[in-house]
Amino acid sequence: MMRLPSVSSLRSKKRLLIICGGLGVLLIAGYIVWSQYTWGQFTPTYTAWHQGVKDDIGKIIALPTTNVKEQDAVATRLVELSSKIDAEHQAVCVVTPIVQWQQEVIPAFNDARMACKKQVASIAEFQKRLTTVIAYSKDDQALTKIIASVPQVSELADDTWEKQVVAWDIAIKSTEKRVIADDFKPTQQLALKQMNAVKSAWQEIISAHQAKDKQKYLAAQTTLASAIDGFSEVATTSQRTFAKLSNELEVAVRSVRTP
Amino acid sequence: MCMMCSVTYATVGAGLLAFSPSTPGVTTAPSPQTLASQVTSLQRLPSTIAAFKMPTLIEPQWLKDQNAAELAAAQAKKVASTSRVVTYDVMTKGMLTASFADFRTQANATLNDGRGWSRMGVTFQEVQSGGSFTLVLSEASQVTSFSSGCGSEYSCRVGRYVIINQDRWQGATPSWNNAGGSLRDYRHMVVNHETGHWLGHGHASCSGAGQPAQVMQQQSIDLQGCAFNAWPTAGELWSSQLGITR
Repeated sequence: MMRLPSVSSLRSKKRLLIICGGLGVLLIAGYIVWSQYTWGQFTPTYTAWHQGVKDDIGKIIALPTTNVKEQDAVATRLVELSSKIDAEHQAVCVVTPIVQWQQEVIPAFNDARMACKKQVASIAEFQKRLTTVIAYSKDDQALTKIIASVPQVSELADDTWEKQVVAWDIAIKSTEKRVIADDFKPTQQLALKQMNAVKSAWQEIISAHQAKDKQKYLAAQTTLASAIDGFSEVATTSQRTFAKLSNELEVAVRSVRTP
Repeated sequence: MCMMCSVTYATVGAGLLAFSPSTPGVTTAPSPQTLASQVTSLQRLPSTIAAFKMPTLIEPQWLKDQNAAELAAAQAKKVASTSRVVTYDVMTKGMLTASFADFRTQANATLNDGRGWSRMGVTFQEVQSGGSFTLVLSEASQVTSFSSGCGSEYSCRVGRYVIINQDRWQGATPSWNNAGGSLRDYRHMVVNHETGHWLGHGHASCSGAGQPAQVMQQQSIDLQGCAFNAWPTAGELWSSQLGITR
């Protein structure tokens, strides 16, 4: 024979159900409020980050570049901006998984997330271009430093010619040792070609000098002048490449700065 | 539960609308510069290369010697091919206080000096009369008698007359003396200069500060920054009078 639950037992189960239901309602209400807060913060957060990047770009553009010190300051700020974007951009559009599912069912959330990803993609593209330009300018400045390390004297007596050969040899080896960006390779290859040509011309001059061979000496002088003139091609190539890279950067930065 | 879901979506959706994505405005002040122009300033290679010039190689001694030998050989060849004699006679004008004999001797030595006009392959020969030009030692006050264009202060050349002012012959000029020039060098200079006019030269200017003056420069008056030089420079070795080109 089945035993019926007592009245007090039924009352306590009902109480338990009410308590559980109340807790459930409270949990759901809490989740709703938290979701609302999370999605509410989403757009202002990424917008603020985007605005921060734009402000940083604006500040860099406004910096003076009249001397090397100021130009170096610009370079430092560009590197800092690139590092900042690199470190932060992947986390900007991330929403906690507990509420992320909501974008699948609420179009407004999905739109917000897509808009965020689009903005971040343009900033990531800008960062990629910026990294390329920074790498090129670093290579450019390093090669400049190497070339500038060769003593440039307006008049050279025969007892200093051997030093020119040594100086160019060191410059060539230092250049060859450098690991450079792909974009800089054509410039560097041309520079190395001219550096070798200059070194070789100096060796010819010294050889003709030692042999006291006037014809060879004069011919070697012409070769040296031609090798030095050939550096203008290096400058042209470098300018052309750098102009292309900076134009690409400018296109990318316009995309970032456009509302 | 479905009812609960719809409540949740509605609430969250409303919350999203309340915090709807706002399009941020561009707050950066407009600037004439661009990021491209900023990064362009980071490029240093072209400007460094632009300053990169062919150095002047100081001629080694062996080359100087070879060049000098070649020049001497060329000049000797030129002298040999163009050697000719130019005659001149000598006279005085006015009252002389200087030795006429010394004048004749020293003038002839100057004209035939290996540093002088003889480098054109010319030998100057003094004759009693009927020379191609007349060398005159003139009292200062008499110089003007040759032409109103001449002054009593300096030497002069008028037509065939190469006139040496006796005062200058005996005392050079203050500027020459102040610079420590010797009287003998002044005499070389004044004979070469006035004879140079007869050879067809006009006056020359200083070719550059510190450079030796051309002998046809008016060194008695103003050196124009040049150094005194009593002898014709290589560029002056020509004569329209004698038909000798450079």
